[in-house]
Amino acid sequence: MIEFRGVSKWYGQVAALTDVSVKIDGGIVGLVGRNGAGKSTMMNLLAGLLRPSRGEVLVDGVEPWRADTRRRIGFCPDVDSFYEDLSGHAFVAWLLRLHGLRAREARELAAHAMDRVGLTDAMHRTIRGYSKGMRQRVKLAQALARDPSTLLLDEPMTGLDPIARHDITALVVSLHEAGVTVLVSSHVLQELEEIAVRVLLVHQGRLLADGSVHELRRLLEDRPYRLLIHSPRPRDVAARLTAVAVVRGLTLDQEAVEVETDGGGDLFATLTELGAEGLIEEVRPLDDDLEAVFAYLVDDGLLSRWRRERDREARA
Amino acid sequence: MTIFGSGYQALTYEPTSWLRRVWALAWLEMRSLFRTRWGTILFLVCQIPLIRGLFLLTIWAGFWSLGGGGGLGRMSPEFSPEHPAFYLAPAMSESGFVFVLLLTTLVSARSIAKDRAARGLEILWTRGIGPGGYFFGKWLGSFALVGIGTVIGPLAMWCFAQSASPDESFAAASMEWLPRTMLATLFFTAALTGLATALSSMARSPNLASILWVVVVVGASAVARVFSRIFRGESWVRALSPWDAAKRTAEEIAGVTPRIEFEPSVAIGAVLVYGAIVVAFAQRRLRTEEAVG
Amino acid sequence: MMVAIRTRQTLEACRQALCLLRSHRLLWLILAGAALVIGISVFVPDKVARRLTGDDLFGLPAYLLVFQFGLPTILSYFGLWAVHDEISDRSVVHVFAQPVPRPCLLVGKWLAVTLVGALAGAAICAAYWLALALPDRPWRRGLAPDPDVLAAFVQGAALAAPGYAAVGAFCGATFRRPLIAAILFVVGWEVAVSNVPPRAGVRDLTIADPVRRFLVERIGEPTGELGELLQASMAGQGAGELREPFAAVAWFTAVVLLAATVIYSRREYDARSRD
Repeated sequence: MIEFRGVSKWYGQVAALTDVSVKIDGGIVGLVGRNGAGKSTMMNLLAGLLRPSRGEVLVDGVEPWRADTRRRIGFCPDVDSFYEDLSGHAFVAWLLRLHGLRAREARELAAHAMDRVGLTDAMHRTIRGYSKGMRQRVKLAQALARDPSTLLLDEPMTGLDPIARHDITALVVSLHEAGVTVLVSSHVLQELEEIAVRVLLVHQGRLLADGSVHELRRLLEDRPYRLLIHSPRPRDVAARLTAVAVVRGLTLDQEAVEVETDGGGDLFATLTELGAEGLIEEVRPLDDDLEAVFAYLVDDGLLSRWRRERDREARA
Repeated sequence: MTIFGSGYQALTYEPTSWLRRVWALAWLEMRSLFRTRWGTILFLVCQIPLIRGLFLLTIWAGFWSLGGGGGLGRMSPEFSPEHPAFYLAPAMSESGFVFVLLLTTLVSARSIAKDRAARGLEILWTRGIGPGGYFFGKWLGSFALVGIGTVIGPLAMWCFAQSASPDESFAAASMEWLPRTMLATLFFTAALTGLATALSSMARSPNLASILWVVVVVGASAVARVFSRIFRGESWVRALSPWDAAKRTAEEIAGVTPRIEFEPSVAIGAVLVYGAIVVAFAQRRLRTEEAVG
Repeated sequence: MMVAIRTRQTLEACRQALCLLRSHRLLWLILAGAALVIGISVFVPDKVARRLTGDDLFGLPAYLLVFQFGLPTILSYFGLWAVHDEISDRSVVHVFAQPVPRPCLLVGKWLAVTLVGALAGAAICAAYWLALALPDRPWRRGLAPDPDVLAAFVQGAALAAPGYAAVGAFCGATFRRPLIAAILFVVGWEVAVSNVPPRAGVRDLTIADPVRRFLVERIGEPTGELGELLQASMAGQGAGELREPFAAVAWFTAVVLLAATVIYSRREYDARSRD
């Protein structure tokens, strides 16, 4: 279990995190934010590399700054530095031996971890000769090696090709099924959408939103959104939709109509009618993915409104 | 669709001259120490010999009544603005050694190694500066920075002494030795920063480059000191130290009494040999395949 | 149980630092340089050998090169290298994320550098002494180097190594440009303090001075050029008030190492790049 209790973190004059409170009981949780939003700071706080300036960070009820807590945490950092002259296997075994394991046990566990990330064939080559993807896998291997109860993956997909991404995604899902709590950060939202049960949106050091993709979507009910309507007669569809009050704008194409709307019953009733008349082949929401939600949420106007509402709630 | 179809337009520009490109690099290098507060403080600390010289100058000029300036020269030629040793002291005195070593370690010895460690060499070489120009720019930057304390400072002190002297006699007397003295300190600074910059090109990290430079300067001086004690009378062994060899050569140029007596031809030969060796290594280490790999 | 685990972790950190040191080019470069100097010294002309005693011929180079240059400069460097290099390239993140207390890591690294320094210093002295003690050399005629002098130098190397390694570790853990700080200590502080009268008491805040006093005590009033070198600037009021050499180095090392450990344990190195 992971918990942030009113955590703030400053680097000198720079506030990296401001009053973050969140509790993660399990599952795969995505940590989303733009570069510099505070994702890595949250990860580093959980890995025990940093201490909060204010508040408390707990992993299984204990502060990760204490060495023994880290026994339960596997951390795949975003740094690309290694002991380059070591082989991948030796690197993982070295880190395992720092747990206090004996050499033989460490070697066996390291070999097993390398196998899990698909690096068995290359595990005795020096890291210096590894590709970017292989280096990512070595980091993942060392994080997995001691079967942690909490796995922190900081931008794990960076530099991976699509096949490797798929493999890593499958591995993360299997770990979740085995009961491991996984916190995975990324600024590529699609990556998380496939695996994350829950998403935390971080922006300018604040926790902007917390929930599933669909819960986040509900946050945005009053937001205008867009629909793409494929039709054999798009002009006719457009003509009918101009009469609907909630439609804000229309863009006509040869095969489709893009509708910008505030939503509401009138629109859906009209769409049902058009469908019954055979004028609609497909209706596709254009903004229901995480990217759109994120782009909308971090819009400054909405952000300040959201903060005001939150502050009002807090005062109440 | 071609790239031009997408609205691409080639940038029109006037290519700058080689010297301007190199100077841009040198200017960047020269300012590198001043990017942090600590760098600036260290630079100021390294100017202690110059500050000491200025203090002595004020005594000589009679700003302080500490028995007048006449006594300073009797204590040591290094203390008298009427002697060339005074202007060589910031670079070549026993006390100046630590500060020049520190500054060259901070600037020259780190200059190329830090770019190599940051994998910046290949980027720089796509900007119209080849390995030779790059090396020259780095050396020029660090030479200019170290030269503030060892060349420009002493020259400014001479100007100050000249303005403070009551008549033309100081100017007339000092013009006999000043050009040679300035040439000597210029040579000494250039030689040391050149050696340090060349060593910097060999190392993988700035720390390693710095320690190599310290080993070459302090270690070789220790070896030279040991051998000069064992081989008494065989003064050439002092030339084993690049520092001592450069210093002896500079003293010969300035025409001052050397602190360590050995043949100037041996010293000049040693400086040339050391220079040739490090430049050959630097040339090798700055080849594209080494820099990119 | 916990003590056993911590000991094992410290020793593992030491082993890993030794492995990394083994592949450091500078170590081999220094050993090769030492071999070269020993080689040259062994073939010094007879006229030199007749003027100097075996002890001088051994002691002068061994003291100037090993104790005044090699151990201070190279060991401080290795100390800071072991601690600071992985901080500067951020590979230390992997290590810090493991369940190992940072003091164990730092002490392990310090131990490794101390071992390498003491062994290398002692080995160089021993090799040089053996080379001079070869039969059929001119100084064999009653003036061969004394085994007691070798013993003193070997013990001196073992005494100096922990101190300089601790200074290096402290600089590595504390400063962004640790090498400059280490150079200031070795070339600035130690040299400056050796010219301060003994009664000022600051000489105990160095390693070079207690080690020199240790050599003088252990050899038993050395004579000749070696005696001159070792006893230079030793005279003066208050010389007797200084701590015992071993105690002085032990105190100095303990304090510096403790400070390094506290800083290494508490500092958030990963926050450096952003401030």
